[in-house]
Amino acid sequence: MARRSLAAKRFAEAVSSIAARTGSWDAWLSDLTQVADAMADPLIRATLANPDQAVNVSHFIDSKAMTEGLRPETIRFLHVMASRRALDLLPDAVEWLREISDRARGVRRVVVTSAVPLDLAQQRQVQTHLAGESGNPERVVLSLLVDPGIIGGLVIREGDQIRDRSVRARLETLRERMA
Amino acid sequence: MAIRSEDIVRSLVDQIGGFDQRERTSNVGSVVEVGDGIARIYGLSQAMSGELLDFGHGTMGMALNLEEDTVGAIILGDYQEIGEGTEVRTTGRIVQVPVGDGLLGRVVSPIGEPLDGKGPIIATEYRPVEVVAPGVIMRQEVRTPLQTGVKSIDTMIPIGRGQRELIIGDRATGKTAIIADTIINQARQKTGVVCIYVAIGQKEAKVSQLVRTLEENGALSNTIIVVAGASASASLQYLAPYAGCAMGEFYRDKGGDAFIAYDDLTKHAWAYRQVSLLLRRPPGREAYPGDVFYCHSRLLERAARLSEEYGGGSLTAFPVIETQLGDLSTYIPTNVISITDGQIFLQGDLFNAGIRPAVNVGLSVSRVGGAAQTRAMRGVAGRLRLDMARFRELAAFAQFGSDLDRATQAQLTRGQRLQELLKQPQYGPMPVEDQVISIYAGVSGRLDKVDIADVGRYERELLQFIRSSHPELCDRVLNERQDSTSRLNAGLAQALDQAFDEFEARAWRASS
Repeated sequence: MARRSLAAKRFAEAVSSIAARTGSWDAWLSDLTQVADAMADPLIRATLANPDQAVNVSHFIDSKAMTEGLRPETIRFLHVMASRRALDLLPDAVEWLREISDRARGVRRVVVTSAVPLDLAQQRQVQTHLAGESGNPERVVLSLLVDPGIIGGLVIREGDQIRDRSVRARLETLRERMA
Repeated sequence: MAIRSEDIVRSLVDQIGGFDQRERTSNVGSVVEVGDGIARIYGLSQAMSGELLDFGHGTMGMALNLEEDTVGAIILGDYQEIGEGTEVRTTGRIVQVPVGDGLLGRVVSPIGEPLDGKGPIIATEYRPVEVVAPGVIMRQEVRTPLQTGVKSIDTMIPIGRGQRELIIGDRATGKTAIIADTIINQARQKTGVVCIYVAIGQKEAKVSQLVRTLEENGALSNTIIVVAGASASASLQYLAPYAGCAMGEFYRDKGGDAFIAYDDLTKHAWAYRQVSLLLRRPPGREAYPGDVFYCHSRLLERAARLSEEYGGGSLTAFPVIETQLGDLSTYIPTNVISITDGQIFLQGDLFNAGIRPAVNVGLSVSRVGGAAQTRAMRGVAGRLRLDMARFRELAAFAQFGSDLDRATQAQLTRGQRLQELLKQPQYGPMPVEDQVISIYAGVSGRLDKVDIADVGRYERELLQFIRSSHPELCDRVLNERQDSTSRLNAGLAQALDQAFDEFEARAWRASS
């Protein structure tokens, strides 16, 4: 769990309030992910972070290569970030935005670790169980991991909350009790 | 008692039978920063303030700062294994320590681990280290004395059970000695008061010396020593008094009496300042955090005398403060003075002049203990306090002139004898009946004709004489029930006077 910048969260919150009003979550997310991916290039990242390059950054944002397919709102947002010399926070901001949009739209991202790979029916079962009686299983997005070390059962992680239903955890608890 | 294998099997079967926990839920975070006994953890959005955190490898921590995306925690124990990225889990419990009789005679760390190599601690119960002090309804006023066995304290600065009395003075003025005497006195007089000594930031050698002294005087078996020495992390030093207090509260809430000494709160304030600054809490005066007063007041409020409906138990606290060059007006001393029910001020000048214990009776007060003094003691202490006050006034003035009228001369003579009488060797606490008899000899003028150098011998021989020839007088002093508050019962006074006459005629040989 990597730490994300709190300043990036503020930008994400600003974007999310616009997205919520206009219902444009997916457009914002795809635009900003595209820019963040481009910024993954270390050279571009270093250039953007350099305070001496403020003017060039502005040119850079407006450049054809960068703005290909972006909406005007996104470009304005990038200028706002650049004017505050915070463009290097963009990848964190995208992560925050994804989390906020998930919460706003009732999507839950869950990491499920099992000892053996789960087949589709089992995945469906996990989704239904996690969604509960009133929830929609479609909105539970699973990421699957396989770790034979847990022996059996499942470890379900959602954000920083872990529900450990593995055989390993039960054995550990038993050992602590008997010690 | 032999351990039978079927008992072990049965207990295991019981435990396995009762084991039906299918899910272990916890909140996790990862360490982003660690050092100097504190950690900053990203995540842990569900952590509670004061919650016990599991760092893995058996290392625990305590959440102190809950921020938007991080938690600031103190690490209780070794933090060598913890690094950036270490996973931390919540436990759902708050920090607890073992309490109960299994701790008596033991030296433990602030988290209740044994430090004396005498094997594991057998704890019957665990109690949280941070609890809210008893409220108004649960308390009653102080009314039973806690005898320290130190003449100058028991007579002029009486302590009641449930009182908070500050011991304040420069380094090496006998602060810890008073605590040691008090603990030894509880053991010698078999008062049933359980003692807890909390060493905060003390030299380990000093603590081990104290443990040995208590052991030699048969007082260790009644005492719990909690140590966060000078080399312990600031986190453990911060936690130590709260942990010791929890151990004392066990006896208080059971209806028993306990005595706890925090040696010393100056170092505790330093440790708390260090922890707070590392956790990036805003510094205030002298860089102490804003809640350093609350940190001490909530600790000392837990010393209380409970009302009969709640068992009538008590916890008496002796916090210690070390001053620099006798300056009482700095931040932490003034704070703790205002929290406590009085203070015993020990002065370096007196100590160096050979007046030991070096109690400055002019600056020392006990705001509530007077109500707890025994009748006989109150009868002699009033006169003593008055005589000593007049003496202090005249002593300063008499240094200038040599021509003094007879009344002044007599006052000085009396004062010097009384001052001599109040001197007491270390580790020699005195039973209350002996104190009354010896102070009565002083205030009734018996010592005025005795040479100053002979006062100690007079007292010793007088007490010996009374114990062997008139043992019934000791019982009378102890059981004195008369209501007059300022004078000793006339009958008792007469009996004592007769015994003194007899002593002087038959046993006392003044050296010439």
